[in-house]
Amino acid sequence: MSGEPPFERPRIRHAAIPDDAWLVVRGVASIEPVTSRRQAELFRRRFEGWGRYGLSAYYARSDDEVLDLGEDRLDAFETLFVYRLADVIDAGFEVVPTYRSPHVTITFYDDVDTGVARLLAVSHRTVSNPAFGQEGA
Amino acid sequence: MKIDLFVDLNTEDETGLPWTYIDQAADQSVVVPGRLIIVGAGTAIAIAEVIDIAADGLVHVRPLPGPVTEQRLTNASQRV
Repeated sequence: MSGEPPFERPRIRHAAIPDDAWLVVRGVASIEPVTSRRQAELFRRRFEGWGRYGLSAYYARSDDEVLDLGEDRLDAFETLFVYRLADVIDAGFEVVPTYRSPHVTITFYDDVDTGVARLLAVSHRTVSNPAFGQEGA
Repeated sequence: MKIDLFVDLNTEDETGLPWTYIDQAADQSVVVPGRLIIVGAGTAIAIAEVIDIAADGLVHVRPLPGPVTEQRLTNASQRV
């Protein structure tokens, strides 16, 4: 058991998300409204002092990097949702470079149901994940 | 298969591992460090090792790659 106090906010990297990072990736199961709402609330609970909801995602700069994410970090997801970073930001979200690259947190301040619905409405494409269901090491 | 612990498998923090809270478990008694359980949300699930449980209930898990089957869970548990 760890007795460390909770962090006020997630660690934010010094390096900004690269200008040519135009993709934000989440697994389809995590984009389901009930899951997104529940996770956004857990994020706010963990970082209450930061005062916003948050959802994890990753940035990529090419289709190959999307496939690498599917294999390395998102192999539990049969399908990936891929957003243009600019579209997510234009929809009113802040995309923060948190923890280790290429992890990001999509954050929002409004009501959790409203925020999740807004994210689901952002234009995106779906990518079948070839790593899904593969036996691991 | 029944999910033991709700985890959005997109998440990671400074540990590089997915995280959740122990009160997201249907039965908190199964969430024990070192134990293999089924974690996930919706259609995305994984067999995962419980890594730690903090004083505030924060839980980290380490998912094993590959599909979730009773046989894989049994085999993996025997290796822990």
